[in-house]
Amino acid sequence: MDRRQFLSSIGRGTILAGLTAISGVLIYRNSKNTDQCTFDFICQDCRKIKSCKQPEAIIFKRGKEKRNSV
Amino acid sequence: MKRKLAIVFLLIIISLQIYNAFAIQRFPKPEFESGHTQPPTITPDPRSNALAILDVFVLVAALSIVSWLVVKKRSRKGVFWMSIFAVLYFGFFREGCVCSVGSLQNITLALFNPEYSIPITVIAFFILPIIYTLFFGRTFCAGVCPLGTLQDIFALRPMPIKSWLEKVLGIIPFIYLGLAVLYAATSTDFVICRYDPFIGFFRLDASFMMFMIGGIFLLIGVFIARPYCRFLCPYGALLNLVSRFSKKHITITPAECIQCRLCEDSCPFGAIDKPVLLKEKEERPIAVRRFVMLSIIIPLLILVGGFTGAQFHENLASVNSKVRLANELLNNTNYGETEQEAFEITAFNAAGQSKEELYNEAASIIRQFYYGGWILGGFIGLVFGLTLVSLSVFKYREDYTPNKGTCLSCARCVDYCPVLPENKVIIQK
Repeated sequence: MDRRQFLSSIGRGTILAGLTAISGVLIYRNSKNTDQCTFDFICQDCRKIKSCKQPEAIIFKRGKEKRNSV
Repeated sequence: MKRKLAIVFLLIIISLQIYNAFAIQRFPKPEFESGHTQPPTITPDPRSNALAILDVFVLVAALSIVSWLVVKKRSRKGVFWMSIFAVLYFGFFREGCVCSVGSLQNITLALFNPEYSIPITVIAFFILPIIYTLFFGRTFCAGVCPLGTLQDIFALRPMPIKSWLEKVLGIIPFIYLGLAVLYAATSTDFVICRYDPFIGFFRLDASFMMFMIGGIFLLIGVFIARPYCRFLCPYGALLNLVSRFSKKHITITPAECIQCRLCEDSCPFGAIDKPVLLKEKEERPIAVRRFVMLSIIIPLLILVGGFTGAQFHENLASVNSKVRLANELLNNTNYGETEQEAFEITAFNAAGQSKEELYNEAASIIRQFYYGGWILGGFIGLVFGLTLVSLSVFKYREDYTPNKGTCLSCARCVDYCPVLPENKVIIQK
């Protein structure tokens, strides 16, 4: 293994470790989170908005209906 | 012939957009006085969990097949047919969502906002292409990403562009990446999804503006291959960095290069590094002086970039809906509407939140943008600095090799190489 390959494998290992850490943190947080969604800007693009029962989604849908009726 | 048929098929599908792009609501909904309420619109159910898991399996299978086709089989034809599959499945069937390109915003949002629940499938769509890139190069870009493959199919008459222009334009994806991360981290918007030029095509509901932008990208893509991937895609910028550490990567020649130069102009993305003669190598004192100069310039660029970014924090923050609402209320401008109260202000008044609370929230968001502006500007400064380094560093090379960062692993160059794995040369008439 030459110097370049050695550095490359260190970089690869670091990136893999980082990815594992990120996934671990996110999955752990997901398991602890209750079903909440406070990101109203997402509703606009959300594909599950039609069936979503979150208060933000209901407000968003009402607003949209009101806007359409005007 | 098959390629032409595939292009005609895709053109037919995309041309269906025109109907949607020009569609307008022809009359307002009637208001009934008899107490009749309009029935709710019937909408399809959201995608089931089983199908979402199936998508992840299809992604893994597609990545594995394309990696095998590129690295082991060295088949351009195979990559092309996988591209068609990716456009049809990840593009038209799955309507381009969740895509790996946009998923980086979900990941950022989840990292900065612990209360946001990110689906595991989104994590998989973000992580898996990066892992495959770490081992096999950008095979995701080659034949799995629906945005890239759609453009690849339309790259019919690619022309080379100057390498300095390629380098300069190559900075844009990093700026876009920084902006996308900033807006996602501050829970402002998903700009990559909002300005995705091809998503409207895949969903067959493009607005006129997005239809035009997507169409222009495809038209440019006929002559300048994959313009979105090379000069805009933020996920591509990420894979560009990761690919430099890839364990295995496509090689132009399967054995020893015979310097026939047939592959020299085969890459439509200008991603083939040409051999550099040893006599062109500069003297050591000059290289050392340059190294010292760059070591001073890069931190300076980071500082200047950070300072400049921080100066624009209010402009950057004005995109945020809460900051905008606070500004509209403060200046009493009513979103430019004169006839009636703006919907956003009506909704705010109905929500029962006090103006002071909103102003405090907006001030906190602006403060986040101030720090974010420093980081974004510093990041852009770093990218400029590293681009300078890459332009000035001498790299001795004997063979024609794909650039690990910019090579999209499309395997076009492989078809140009006359060398066989057993080191025999194909002799053509």
